[in-house]
Amino acid sequence: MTVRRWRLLRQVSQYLSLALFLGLFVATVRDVSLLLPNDLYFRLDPLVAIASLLASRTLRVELALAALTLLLALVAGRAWCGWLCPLGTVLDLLSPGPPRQGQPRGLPLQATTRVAPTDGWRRVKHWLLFATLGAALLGNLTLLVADPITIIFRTLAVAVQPPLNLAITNAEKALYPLGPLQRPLEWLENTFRGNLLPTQQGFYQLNLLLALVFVGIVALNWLAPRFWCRYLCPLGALLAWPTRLAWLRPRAKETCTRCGLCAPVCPTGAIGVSKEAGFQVDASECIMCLDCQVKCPQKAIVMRGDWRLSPAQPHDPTRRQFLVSLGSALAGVALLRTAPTAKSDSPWLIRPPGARKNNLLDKCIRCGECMKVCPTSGLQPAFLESGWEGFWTPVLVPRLGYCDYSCNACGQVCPTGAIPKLSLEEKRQKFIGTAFIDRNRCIPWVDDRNCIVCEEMCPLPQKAIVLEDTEVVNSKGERVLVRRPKVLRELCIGCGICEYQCPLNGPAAIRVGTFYGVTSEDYARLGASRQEASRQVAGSR
Amino acid sequence: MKTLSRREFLRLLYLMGLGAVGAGTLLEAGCGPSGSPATPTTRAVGSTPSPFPSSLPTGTLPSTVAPTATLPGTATPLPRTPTPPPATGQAYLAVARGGSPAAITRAAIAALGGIERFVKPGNDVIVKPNICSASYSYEYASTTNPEVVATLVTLCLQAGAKRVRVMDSPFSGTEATAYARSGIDEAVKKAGGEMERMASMKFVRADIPQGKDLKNWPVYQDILKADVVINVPIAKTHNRVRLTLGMKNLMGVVEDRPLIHLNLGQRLADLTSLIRPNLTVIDAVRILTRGGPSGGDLSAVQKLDTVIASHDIVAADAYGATLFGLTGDDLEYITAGAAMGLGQMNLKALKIEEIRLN
Repeated sequence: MTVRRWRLLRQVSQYLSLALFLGLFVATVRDVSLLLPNDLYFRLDPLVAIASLLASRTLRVELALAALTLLLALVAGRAWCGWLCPLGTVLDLLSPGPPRQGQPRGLPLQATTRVAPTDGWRRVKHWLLFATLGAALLGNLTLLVADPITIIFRTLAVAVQPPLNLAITNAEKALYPLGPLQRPLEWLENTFRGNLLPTQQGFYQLNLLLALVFVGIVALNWLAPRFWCRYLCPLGALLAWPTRLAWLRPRAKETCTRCGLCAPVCPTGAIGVSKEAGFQVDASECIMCLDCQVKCPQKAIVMRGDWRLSPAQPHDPTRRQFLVSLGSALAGVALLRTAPTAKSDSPWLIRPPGARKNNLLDKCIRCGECMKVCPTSGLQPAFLESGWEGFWTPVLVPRLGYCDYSCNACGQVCPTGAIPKLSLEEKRQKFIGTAFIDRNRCIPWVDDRNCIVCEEMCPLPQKAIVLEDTEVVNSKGERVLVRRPKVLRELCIGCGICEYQCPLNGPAAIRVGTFYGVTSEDYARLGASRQEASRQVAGSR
Repeated sequence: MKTLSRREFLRLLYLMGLGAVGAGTLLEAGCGPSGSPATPTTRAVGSTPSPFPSSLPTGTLPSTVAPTATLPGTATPLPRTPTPPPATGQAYLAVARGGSPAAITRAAIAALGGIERFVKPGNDVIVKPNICSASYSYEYASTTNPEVVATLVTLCLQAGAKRVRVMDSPFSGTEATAYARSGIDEAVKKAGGEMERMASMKFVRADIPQGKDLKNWPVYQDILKADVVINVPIAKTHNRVRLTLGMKNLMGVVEDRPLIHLNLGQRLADLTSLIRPNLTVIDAVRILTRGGPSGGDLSAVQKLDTVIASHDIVAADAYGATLFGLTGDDLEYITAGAAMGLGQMNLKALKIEEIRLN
C-alpha cells in the first residue's frame, strides 16, 4: 500500500472514530441500551484507568480495554493520538490551514542546537501526568478534568448540545407558523427528538467556562498545530512512555537527502533535520499521522523499528522534575483538603442517588456522562459545592432540574461506578437531601392564598409534603381557609421536583439541601428512622 | 476598502436585513418579556412546566411577547365549537358499570348515540388522556386506563376518522417514558392510533374571549385545529381543587402550568371555554381516593369499573364528583364553568342513562 493510502486510512480512521464517539454521545439516553458500552472511550483511556485504579483502589473489569490502548502504544507509538483520539481529530479539523508557500509550519525540533524554550514546554504535559497520578495515589482525581476524553465529552454535554438544541428548537418555533415548513419540521421533531435533540432543554451552570476552556484549547492551535497534544495532554504524556519502546517509529533510510521538507509538515513538530545530524525525530512526540512520509520526495521515511529504547531528548522529564510533580500533587491535595468546604460539605451539595456513601470523590472521573443522560439537566458540574477538590463533579441543582422519580439513568452510565448502578426500586429508596420551606416566601404562608404546587408534585406514595388547613384573616379582612405546606422530613428523599415547580421568581420557597445529614443512619442518630416515620404517618391517616 | 457598486451595496443591504430579521426572531424567541433567557412563555423544549414565571398572578402575560404573531399565517386561533346537546329523548350523560374497561366504554358511548354523533368520516381526532407522570403504571390510578383509551381509538377509526392522535404533556418524566409506563403507548398503537409528542413549536398564544381571569394563554395549536377532541381524564383527588376530572385534565395541553394554579378554579373554567372538548369520557375503572394526582399508594385505589361519558364536560365532572361523595357545588371549577354557561351542573335536570353490564 502506498504511503498516500496509509495516510488516507489514518484520516478515515480519525473520522470514523470521531463519528463513533459522537454517536455514542448522542445515543447515551435514559432507558436505552446500546450495542456498545456508552463509556467505550473512557474504558479505552489508560489515564482514566490508571488514575481511577490508584484512587479508588478497586480493580474493575472495564479497565481491561485500557490495556489495549497501552498495547497499541507499544506497537505503534502514539497512534491513538493520530488515529483514534476524538479530541485530536477535532483539533485537526479546527486548525489553521496548511502553511503557505515558504512559511514554516509549527516549531520544528532543533536536534543539534540547544533546545528552544518552546520545546522545553513539552515537559508540562509530563508534569501534569505525574501530578495526576500522584494525586490519584492520595485518592484525588481533580486533575482528570484535563483528560482529553473527559474534556470533549463534558464540553459536548454542557456547552454544545444544550445551545444547539436551543437554536434548533427556537428556529422550529419561528418557522412553524410558515405553513409549507410544517411537515418537514414535524419530521425533524419526530426523528431527532430524544436522541440528537434532548427531550428537555438543559440549562447548565458554568457552561460558559466550559465552553471557553474548550475554545481556548482549540485556539492554541493557532500558536502551534496540536498545541494541546504537544505541551499539555496528560494522556499523550502517558502514551509517550511505552512509545519509547514502540515497534513502529519513524526513521529515515539512507536515501534521505536532508532536504528538510518533512520537518515543517509535522503537526507536533517532532522532526528536526540538519545537514550534520540528518533526520532526527522524537518518537514520543510522533502521532503517526504519516504526513512526513507523504511529503518526502525520496520516500525515505519509513515506520519500522526495533525494540531499542528511543534516544533521550533534551526536553524529557528528569528524575528531579518527576519528584517535583509528585511533590506538587501532594502539596496541592493537602491544600485543597484544608479549604473550608473540605471540613464540612456545603448544605447545597446534593449528590446523585447512592453516590454520597460511595465516596464519589475518589471514583468520579469528571466525564459528564451522568450530566448528559440526566433527562432534566438536574445533574450539573459542581462549582465549589464540594470545594475545589470536587470541581466539575456532578451535583443536583433542583431549581434547574429535578431527580425524576421514574429514572435511574445516571448510575447506569457512570463509567467508574462513582454513581452506583441501582434498580429503580433501590434508587427510589435513596435519600439525597431534604426539602425545607421558607415561610417568608411561600405564597400560602405569606399571602394567605392557596398554591400547593409542591405537594401536588411530590412523587412519593406517601407524600413528604402535607397541607395544614389554617383559618386566617387575609389582607382584605376576609376569613379564608388556607392550605399551608409542611415537609415531613423523615419521608422526603430530596428529589427536588417541589423546588423545581415552585412558581415563585428567583429561589424557590421550598428548597432541597443536605442540612440534616444524608443517610438513614444519620436519621437514626437524630432519633427517627425512615421506616418508623412512614409507619407513623400511615397510621395517622 | 474597495468601493461597492450600487448593485453590490443593495445586495449587501438586503442580506443584512434578512440576517437582522432572522437574528431578531431567534433572539426574541429565546428571550422572554423580561429579557432573561429562561422565561416560561417561550422556553424551548419542555415536557414539564417551567419554574421561572415572568410575572405572578395576573391573567395575561405581558403583551410585548408574541414571537409568532408577526409572521404570516399566525392569527391567534379561535376557541373550539362545542358539540350541541343530543336530540330530545337521548341520553345527556351516560354511566356504564360492571364490565371490562372496553365493554363499559363502548356501552357508555352507545348510550350517547354512538361515536358517529361525534366523529364523522375524514375527521382529524385527538384523544387526550391523563398521562401526567412516568412514575407508576395504570394500576395505581394516576393515569388513564389504556384499554379505555384504546377502545376510543378503535371506535373513532371505525367511524372513519382520518387519523386518531393520542397525546399528553407529563409534569414529571419524559413523554417517551410516561407513554410507555402508562401502557397507553402499546394499547394505542395496537388499536391503530398514533402517539404524539407535544413539541413546543406548536404552542401558540390563544385569545380567550370568554375568559374571566385568563384572556390569553399558550395552547397546543393542534388541539384547537382538530375536528374532534375527546377528553379522557381519570378520576382522582387533588389537594388544591379537591378532585381532578375533565376540566383539570385540560391542563395537559397548555403551557405555564404552575401559574394556572393561582386562582385555579376560575382559570380552569376559562381554559375550558377555549378548548371545549367534543366528548368527555371519565375513566373511573379505578379511582384515586387520596394522594392524588401523582398517586403511588395502591391502598388509595378503589376499583369501580365505571365510565362516565357526555358531550358536556361540566356535567361529566359534576357526576364524577358523586363517586367521591361530593357534588358539583364542592368544586370551584364546576360552579365557575356553569356560571359561564359552559355546561349543566344540576344533574337532576339531566337525562342520565345508567347501564349495568354484569
